[in-house]
Amino acid sequence: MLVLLAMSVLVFVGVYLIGNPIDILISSQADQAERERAIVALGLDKSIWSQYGSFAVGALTGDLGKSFAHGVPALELIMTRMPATLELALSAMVIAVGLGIPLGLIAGLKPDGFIGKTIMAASILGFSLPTFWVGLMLIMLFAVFLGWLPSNGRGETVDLFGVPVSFLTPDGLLHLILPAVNLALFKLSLLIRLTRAGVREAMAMEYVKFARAKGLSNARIVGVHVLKNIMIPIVTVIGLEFGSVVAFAVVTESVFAWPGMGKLLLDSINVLDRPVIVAYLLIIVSLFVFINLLVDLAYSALDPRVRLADAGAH
Amino acid sequence: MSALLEVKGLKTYFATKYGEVRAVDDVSFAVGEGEVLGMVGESGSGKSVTGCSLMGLVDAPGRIVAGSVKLLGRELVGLAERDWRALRGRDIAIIFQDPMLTLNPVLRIDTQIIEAIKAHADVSKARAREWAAEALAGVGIPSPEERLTAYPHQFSGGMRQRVAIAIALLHNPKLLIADEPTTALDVTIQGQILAQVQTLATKMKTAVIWVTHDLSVVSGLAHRIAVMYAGRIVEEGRTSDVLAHPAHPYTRGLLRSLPSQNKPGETLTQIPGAPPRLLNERVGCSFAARCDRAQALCAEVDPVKTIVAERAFRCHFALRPESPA
Repeated sequence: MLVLLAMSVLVFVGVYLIGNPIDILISSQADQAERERAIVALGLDKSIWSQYGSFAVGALTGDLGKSFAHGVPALELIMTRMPATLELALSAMVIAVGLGIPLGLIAGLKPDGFIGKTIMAASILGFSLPTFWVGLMLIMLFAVFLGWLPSNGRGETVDLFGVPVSFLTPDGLLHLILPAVNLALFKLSLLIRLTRAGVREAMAMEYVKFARAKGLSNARIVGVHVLKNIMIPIVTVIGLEFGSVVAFAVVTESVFAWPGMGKLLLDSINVLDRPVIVAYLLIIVSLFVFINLLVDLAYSALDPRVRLADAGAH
Repeated sequence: MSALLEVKGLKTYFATKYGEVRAVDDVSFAVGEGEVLGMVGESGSGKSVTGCSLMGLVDAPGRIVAGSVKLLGRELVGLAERDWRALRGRDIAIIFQDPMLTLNPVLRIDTQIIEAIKAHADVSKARAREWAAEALAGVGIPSPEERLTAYPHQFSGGMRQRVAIAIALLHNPKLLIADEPTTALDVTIQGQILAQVQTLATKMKTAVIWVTHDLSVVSGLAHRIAVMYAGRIVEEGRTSDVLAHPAHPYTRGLLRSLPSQNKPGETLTQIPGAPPRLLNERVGCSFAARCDRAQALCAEVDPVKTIVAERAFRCHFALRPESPA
């Protein structure tokens, strides 16, 4: 909660400093009286602190203010865009985890082999190429030259528990591929490197030698002994990265015109729609806090030593 | 005693960027059924690498470059990984030095024991569990059924080493390699572990190679002692003989370094210098530089193995049995 409070003050002041939304929202032909009326209606005549006060009171009751531009509650506006972003972020994480861990394992087990070296070289590219550029290149290749995949929008969606999703329709899935791959690339590289480092470290441990001395198969040693040990750092990173994937989907969403929260944020910044910007950032912060909680819970499931504190001394 | 294990001319080298490190260089010995061989030497003398070579567990860049290891007449050097796997844990088992590191910290004890059981025996889950509990009870762990569900960090060091011993002895191996298993433990626990291994080995007729840097540990345990220096066995013989009348000056040095051999107040005797690096071609005796009996010959000619009665040693100027130790 303290984090949220501090964050809300920072964001509020920060957004206040950016510029005056009146200049953008009200047409230049409006006369002075109209202008005054609009300012009062939006509550912009008050001092920043009284504005913050009324915002904070509203926020406690779940009201994050109304969008200046759209005239609907900011929270509602974001929530309608959130499923698209979450879908994109989840798909990206599935790709990153589903490919990153196996590739990292291969690279870690055969660090000097040709395949291992190729994987590592590729991961450096994934790390260092900027997301927007890769996104544009993907569009060029797969949408323009090859014409295999659509380059923008969500495509056809179906409702799943009242939430529109793309991945359940063939058309939607096709639309999802490029942005998800684009967003996944960086995380994929990160996971490959992390897994590889973990595997190399774990393989040198004595418990691996002892497991071999027991006559266990390699599959069992890598799949159980090694993997379970390296999962701890990997889960941390997956958790943190999921937060950042959601938050920084902004770039990918704008490159692929994906109608998610990130796109909404950019649009809102353009028109200085303060309530939406503030609400968006608060939601992201809450998301980070929540994910960290989940990661901590996952820890105790993975590492018995963390559980020791509440299990009591034996 | 018929020979259970026969090692001949074993050479395990490590390829490094500075050249080849000859960690084990032409080592030969034999262990009979139910016999305990104490393998003694300083750090870096090659004793642990010898142990790992016998298990086929030498990590890259190390490899066995020459020699033969025969277990009941079967050649182990050059065995395929599959065949090794069938052998490890069943015919040959090993326990390592640091019990804090040998057990996987994130897996429960039962998982780690049962997987070892199932690696070599086709038994039901219930039977495997029963077996695991019996194994724990066998090494003196109280309320074994309960302890099965514990994690390694819930055990003390001594208890973990017992678990490791229990795992090593699950399939009643013919040979147990104990790679300094008591070095990391308290003296009282050391004694218990020693006694435990001795009792179990005698009961199961398991041969033991007890690797240690501590002569006093093996003196009451081993039937025979092999002293390693710079990747070679420099002296080998019956424990009582070697301890009472060392033939090699290095063995004598080791014995004299034992605090118990000293009168109170007297300065402890040390072997001067440090073990040689094992990189270069061997010229002369590798102990010559540290030896008080060394003469010109020692620096030039590598001593060959000499066998007198049941003693084997590599020294040009070996101490005669009647000379004082």
